[in-house]
Amino acid sequence: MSTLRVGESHGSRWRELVGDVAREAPSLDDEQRRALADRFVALGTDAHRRLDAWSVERAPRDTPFAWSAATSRRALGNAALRRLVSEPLSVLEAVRDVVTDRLLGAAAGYARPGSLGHWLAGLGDAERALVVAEATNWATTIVELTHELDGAWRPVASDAYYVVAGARTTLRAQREFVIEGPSRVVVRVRSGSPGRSAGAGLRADLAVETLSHPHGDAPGRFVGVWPDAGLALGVDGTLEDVRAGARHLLRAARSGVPESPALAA
Amino acid sequence: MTYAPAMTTILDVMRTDAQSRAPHDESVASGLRRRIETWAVARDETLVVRAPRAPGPLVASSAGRVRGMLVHHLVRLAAAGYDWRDPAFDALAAWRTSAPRELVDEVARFDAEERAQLRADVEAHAVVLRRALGTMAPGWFPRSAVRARVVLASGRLHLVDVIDLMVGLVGPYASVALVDVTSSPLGPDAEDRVAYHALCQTLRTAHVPLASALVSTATGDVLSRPVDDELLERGVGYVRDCLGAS
Repeated sequence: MSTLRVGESHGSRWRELVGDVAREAPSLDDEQRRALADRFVALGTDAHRRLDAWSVERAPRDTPFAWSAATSRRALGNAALRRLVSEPLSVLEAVRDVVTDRLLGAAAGYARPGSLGHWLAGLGDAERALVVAEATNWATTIVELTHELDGAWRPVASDAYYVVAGARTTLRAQREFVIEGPSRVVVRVRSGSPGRSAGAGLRADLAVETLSHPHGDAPGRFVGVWPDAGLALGVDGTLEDVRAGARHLLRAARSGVPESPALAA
Repeated sequence: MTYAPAMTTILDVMRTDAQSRAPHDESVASGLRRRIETWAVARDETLVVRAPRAPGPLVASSAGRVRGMLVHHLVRLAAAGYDWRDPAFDALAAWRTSAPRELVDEVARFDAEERAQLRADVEAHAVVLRRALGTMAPGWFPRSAVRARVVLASGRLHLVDVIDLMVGLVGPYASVALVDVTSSPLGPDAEDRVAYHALCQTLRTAHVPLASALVSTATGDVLSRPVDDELLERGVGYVRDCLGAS
């Protein structure tokens, strides 16, 4: 049965949401992946299609993507988290180091126009400090979330991507960190408050996370956290929820919703 | 009402020894939530509550609004460890990266005299702010412009808040300090503002913060309160008044 679990982003209800997870999670075999690919192929498309939870939740059409302190905080904050795991730094120091690395890359000619490094290199010192402040907020919020966990966690190296064979379609699930245990729990952090379609978005994330796994293993649970609202929602890695997520993605592809601005970037 | 002048930094004022910090108790947040929801559940329409802000001539004026935004961005720059040299210029540059175009354009419409006045004004506020904040160690987990939107009573009540500066992480003992910075003198709403921030943070995180403070960069006055039952009760009272409950 498909169930949306409601919890909080702090305290015992947070620990319960990420800790009380079934050990057994299903796997998708090659035939199931092929069946999904066939359904995407049947839809047809003129251009390459990129879909994620944003497309499923049908957020209002945004302005064309542009780098800003707000749009850069996740990329910089998550990179800082990865650095924090291996180096004894404060969050602020880790963010500054990440920004410096990007600037060095841009100075060495490794940043293409439109990239984050290229944009950062064009900012003044004060503007860059505001970018650091935003990214520090993001990373500190995640450190605070993990601070309350009983078990081990690790930041992810990247979002989950799955290229649907022959369908000119790329699926993406945003994710911030994974909680290790008998069953893996994948956590995604989001701004603001969850809307009515948050459950559909989470199931889409779950489906992409499962499809992108080398063996098609579903996580024990996919959790979305909205720290601004103090809320967290989770969907279990059941076959029903994975299928529901795939249906949401297909529906988004069928209705041709605008692609996620963040994904397009 | 009297306020302590900011002779020491605001974080010095808020700091307490580890032994006197209250242990984490989730029942505090759930008790507050239940009480507020009792009043809110009878509402037909959604009510959005924000921190009290006494209307004054400075808040209403364009120059006052712009100055407030620039001081707010100076706090953000300080949280990122940025050592500003030209506060008005740096704050405006930082504001441009995040503000709607039309707000920043307000400054472009100022004449030369208004711009000079704004620059001098922001410099004066920056001196007070720097003295009040001191140097923040990166290990204190400084965060700036931390937003909260606590939804209660099935969406009938939204408590919306922005904390200018937050220091510390939630943990087994109260350890988070909240700082609100205003470019206006502290008014009769100051106590309610400090209490409202503490209430929102408690409801959002299920952790009672250590202290909540309000700093005026106009006068250097600081109102700092340890977060205890009395302060949270004041915050609840403010929300109850907004709901019109008795």
